[in-house]
Amino acid sequence: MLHILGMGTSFPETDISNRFIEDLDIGTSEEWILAKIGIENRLSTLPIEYVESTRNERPQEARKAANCTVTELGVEAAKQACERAGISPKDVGLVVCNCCTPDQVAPSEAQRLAKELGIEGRAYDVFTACPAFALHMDFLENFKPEALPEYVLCVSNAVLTQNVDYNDRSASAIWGDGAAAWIVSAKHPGKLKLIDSFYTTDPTRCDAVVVDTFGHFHQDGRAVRDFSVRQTVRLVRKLEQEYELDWSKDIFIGHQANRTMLAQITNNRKIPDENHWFNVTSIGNQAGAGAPATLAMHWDEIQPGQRILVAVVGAGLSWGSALLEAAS
Amino acid sequence: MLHVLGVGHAWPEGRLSDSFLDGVVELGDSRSGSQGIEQRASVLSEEYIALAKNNHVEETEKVASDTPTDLSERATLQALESAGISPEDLGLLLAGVCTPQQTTPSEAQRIGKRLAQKIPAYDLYSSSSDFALHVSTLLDWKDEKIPDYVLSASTGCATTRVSYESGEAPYLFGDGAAAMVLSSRRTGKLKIIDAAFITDPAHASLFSIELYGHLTMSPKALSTWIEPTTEKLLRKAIEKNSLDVQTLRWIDPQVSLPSMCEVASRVGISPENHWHNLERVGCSLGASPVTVLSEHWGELVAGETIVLSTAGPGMSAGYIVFQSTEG
Repeated sequence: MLHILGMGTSFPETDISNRFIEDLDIGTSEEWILAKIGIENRLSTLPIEYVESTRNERPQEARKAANCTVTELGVEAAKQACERAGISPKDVGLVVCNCCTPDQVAPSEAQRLAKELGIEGRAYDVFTACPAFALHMDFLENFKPEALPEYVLCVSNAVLTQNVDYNDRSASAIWGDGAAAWIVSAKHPGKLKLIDSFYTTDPTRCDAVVVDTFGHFHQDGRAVRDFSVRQTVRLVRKLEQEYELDWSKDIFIGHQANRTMLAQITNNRKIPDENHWFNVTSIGNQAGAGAPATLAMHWDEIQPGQRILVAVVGAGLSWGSALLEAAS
Repeated sequence: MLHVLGVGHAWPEGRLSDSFLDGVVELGDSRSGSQGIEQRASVLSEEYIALAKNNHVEETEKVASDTPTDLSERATLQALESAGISPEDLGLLLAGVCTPQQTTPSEAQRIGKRLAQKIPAYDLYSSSSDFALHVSTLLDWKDEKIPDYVLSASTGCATTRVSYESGEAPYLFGDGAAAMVLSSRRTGKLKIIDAAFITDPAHASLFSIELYGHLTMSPKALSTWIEPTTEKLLRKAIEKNSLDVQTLRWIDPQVSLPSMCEVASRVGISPENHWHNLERVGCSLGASPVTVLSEHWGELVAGETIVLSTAGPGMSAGYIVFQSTEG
């Protein structure tokens, strides 16, 4: 049985508002963005002057202009997760990381994080982009419990605003930057225990969401949106039946792609607003960090016995879920 | 118990010779072929390197003969053929890539697309020790969680991240991919009897590849980390598994031939039992050791023990101990 002992987040400070995007004069408006995707604001590692003056035409320049690195975000999130778990980073025996916007392609992002945190245990990347929370929990659940160290640090961090073409009205409105981290243990009980996990992919559709190493993010928006809603609804429905989820007290967290997509899912499954946690409206889509960051932001509100379903989808195309139950 | 059912490898057709590099690279204090390498496999042409010295790494996308995924696809198809299975039989794709063409989706998902398979696929990545990581992870999993057939692949085009202005890196690195088909339910030509994977993040800065820049390897990386760590882990594999050094075959990490010949000599492994191909294709990081195994696949004799060592960026290292089950 896996437990989550603590969670943390970190976000950059630059606000990218709908008004700012409208003022870029790229064929969109504050009203249109709100109506279509329901995002009010994004947080970015890029200085606003840089975005305005360059539109980030060359992502290579974004790395130099950024106020902080993706690894720095991951480190801050990890420190908070350790603090909430009541452990020191030095207690961590394994680091697994999911990062779709690394500053270096070798060593792995997990190894860079471990170096910064002074962790001497093993470190490697377990990568699938957006559904990282489901993959990491399912990946760790595959281990014989005795093969895992006492504490595992999972991190998902992304700075996709650095790969956005700010002449592209769709991509400009979607992305934010952030990091989430969580401490997992098979040996120590924690606030949340994992009661079900699932992860899979359909690689035949992997070209639907792409971040070119030397280029920008691009996606087949309509196809991805349809896939995301349909697949998440399937995941939720299956687990509702299997575990008799009660949306009057249990919590749903979806992939933080956009607010209107999440609304389609919650409307379909009749999940009330007060039992639906999200952060995309104020931070933007943080790729794999979004869902776990949302959970981490509500860490202190989790009620004993409450079940939390995290159902996530994204690049790959891949999807998965983790059903958690709070300790009584 | 894990078995290897099939192995495959792929290199691009291009080769960079010592004589070519001698005419392009400022040697400084280093000298041609200093790691015992005579030629390197590369997706880059001699014309491009001579003209541009690869000063702007993004240019390689336009001029490379193959992508890392082209190479991993070829290695995978060969591994599947040697395993006698079809892509439809696979239940899990694990991959690693040190020079991705795209940072999203994962390399495993790109391979899955080439194979037209709808199965779980993700990257399990540690730069140069992907195979040791993949195998040691599967050995740590509950048996019921391992599908009947797992593909493990590693690929990289390190030459696309080398600056051909100066230094030893142009002489060391090559490009390539390798793949293995693993099964916990079917017996294969090789049985895996042990594996280990370690990382030492404190020394991560010894060896790095910038997303938008060049590969840098500290001159100390080989002598202070790769060589001693490889030897320590090799000795551990021998002691833990009571292996006979007189008869075991050793595949080194393919980073330096002189250095690894010294390790072999100190440990007591004879030159004929020390397998390598670094001198012919250069170091392709994670893929390299399994390309050597793949080249020897047809000559394995029942009862042979093979230790495959990995080491490189991370810093990370590991080993896999195989025992041949058939002639």
